Amino acid sequence: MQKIFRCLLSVFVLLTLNTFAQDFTYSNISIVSATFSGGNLNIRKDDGTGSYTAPQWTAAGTTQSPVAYVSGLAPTVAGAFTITCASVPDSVFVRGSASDGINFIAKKVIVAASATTTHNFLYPATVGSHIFTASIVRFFKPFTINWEVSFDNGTTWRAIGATNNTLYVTRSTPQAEGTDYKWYHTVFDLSCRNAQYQSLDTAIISHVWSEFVDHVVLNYNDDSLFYYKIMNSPNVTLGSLLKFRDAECYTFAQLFLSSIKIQGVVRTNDYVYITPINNTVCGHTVNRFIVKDWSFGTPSATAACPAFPYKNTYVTSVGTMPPPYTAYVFTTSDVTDMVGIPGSCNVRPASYFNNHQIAKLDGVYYDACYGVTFPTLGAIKTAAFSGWSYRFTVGANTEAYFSNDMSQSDLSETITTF
Amino acid sequence: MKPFFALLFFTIMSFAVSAQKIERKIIIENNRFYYSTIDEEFQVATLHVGNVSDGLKTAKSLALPAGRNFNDPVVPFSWDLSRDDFYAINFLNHPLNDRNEALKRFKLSALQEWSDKVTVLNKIVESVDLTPFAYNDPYLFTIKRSNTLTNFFFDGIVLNDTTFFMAITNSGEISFWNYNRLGWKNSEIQKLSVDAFFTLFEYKKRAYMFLNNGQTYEVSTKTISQAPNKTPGATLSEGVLIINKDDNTVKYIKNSQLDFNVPLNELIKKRAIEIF
Repeated sequence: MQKIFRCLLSVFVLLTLNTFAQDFTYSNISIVSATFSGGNLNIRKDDGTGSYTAPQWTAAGTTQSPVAYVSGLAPTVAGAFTITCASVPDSVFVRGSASDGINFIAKKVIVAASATTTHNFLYPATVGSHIFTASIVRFFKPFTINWEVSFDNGTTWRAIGATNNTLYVTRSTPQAEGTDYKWYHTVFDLSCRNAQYQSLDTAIISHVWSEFVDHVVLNYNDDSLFYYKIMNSPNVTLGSLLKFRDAECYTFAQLFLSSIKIQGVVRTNDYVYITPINNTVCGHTVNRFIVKDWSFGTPSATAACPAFPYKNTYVTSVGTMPPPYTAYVFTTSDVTDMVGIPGSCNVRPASYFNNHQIAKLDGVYYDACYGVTFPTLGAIKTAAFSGWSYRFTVGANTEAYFSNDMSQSDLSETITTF
Repeated sequence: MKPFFALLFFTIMSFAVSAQKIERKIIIENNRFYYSTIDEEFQVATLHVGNVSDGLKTAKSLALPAGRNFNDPVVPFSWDLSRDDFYAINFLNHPLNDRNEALKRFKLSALQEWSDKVTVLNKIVESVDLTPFAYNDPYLFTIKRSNTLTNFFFDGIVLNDTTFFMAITNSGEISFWNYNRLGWKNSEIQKLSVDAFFTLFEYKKRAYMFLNNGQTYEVSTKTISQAPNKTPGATLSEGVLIINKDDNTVKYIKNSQLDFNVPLNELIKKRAIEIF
């Protein structure tokens, strides 16, 4: 009789538990936020308004924040959840399974008391089951964590949704920030997107460079980064390129080099400032060059300077340029700017310069805004220039004299470490 | 494109009243103070002018057709005043800005306040087209010795009515230069290791160089000698010099002591450290 009673009691208890558990099955569980920690890197916003902060994923967020780690680390994640139910247990089990086969182990968490039917519970900061492979660049877009909850001590699990963040893994610890080089979102994105699975310095450099060669350089949001969308762009810093998505040559060299440095690749003497050698012709210093392609018409200044017989005049080369600021405006002109070498996202960028800034890595010159490389300094003028120029100002007007004889000057380089 | 220019204008205006990182020094002349700041986005300089009996924040902000870049390591904006002339070494990064033509001089009285007509773009273009008062021989000489720039720093000041004085370092070498309207004369190359920027100043018609480590040297194209007991006990990057041409003193004030609300003359009395 006692055995029968025990048996009936057991059946009653099990039935009660099952009924109670089914209440949870139909309860409403929501992910509130996910917070990454454990050595994740600071990521600056491209718009210059500061850095992304935790939590990196929120249910209310229309866009989620990116996350970055150095390879060899495992991600650490905490989660916040709510459960809405008339009756809730004191605790539940939570776990996550993420991209790259990373798991966040099941943990028993307390369901907080509440005056309403909605209760909070927190999955504590938990280190992922394995590290991102050491010395390998990774790019997860997205890095997904599928969250599950269990009401029966982990016997059965119920999916409660996923959190998605873009996650970057750099090969090594990024080089420390400088005044121009900073850990911007697009620097992480461009670098890891292109150098995915790479490890060697040379492979990282070549894969990052591949972003530039097709003249379509994109930011983290797949927006184009323009080389002189307007010819009078004042933007010469990496920050302004990423903020305004339109800038001068300096910034593309900086973006390329930053995307190398963010992987911890160390190179010195990598930033090259090129300008004419300042030789004197007809009493003036040659200090301008024009990038292909320019059309040379009938020279009107042969008498003034036989070596530089082509003459243009202008009030100012860019300052009074009328909208849409996409073409030079000369008062008189023997030489005319034509469509020539395209720049990033622009088939007809500015092309009348005193100087130009490019990168130099392992003996190769990388001209990032044009997406081309040169084996030597001397190769640049031959491949890319239409001619040389000098200019001087007379009152409010500038007179510029041109030559398409490339032997009339040469380039000098000044080298610094970016 | 009007919104673009409006953005630039308001960026500058907001910068003018908020970020106030003073470049190198404050000059006092005829009871007026002058200091310069740099737009962190567009590199262009602003000259702030006010009365010494007022706080630095009351200064009028004048647009300068000059500036400096943000390359590492930073070389702060090099500038000086002499009567109605403003001198600048225009080292902003721009594809039309020739470093050989960086030495600029323009009239103080012609400077205008920032407005929707006095824009960053105007000033950049004006700066690169402005005829230099001299070619930058010190720079050309330096990069000819070594075109790899390591610990590259420079500064220039007006030494007297006829002389512009420059010092320039690269790769452990320093040279001093005088320009006297006819041409340049330079010192022998000397070995001097500097790892951060320095600032020149004039005191009783002599040139002095204040190094970042707090040491002061008397310098010329002929000699360089340490000036003993002329140190504020702090590094140059921690503060600014106050060159008072009215009472002929040179003082130093830490950035942390700079209160833009306090009248400058009171601030100097309370917090500045006298060097000369």
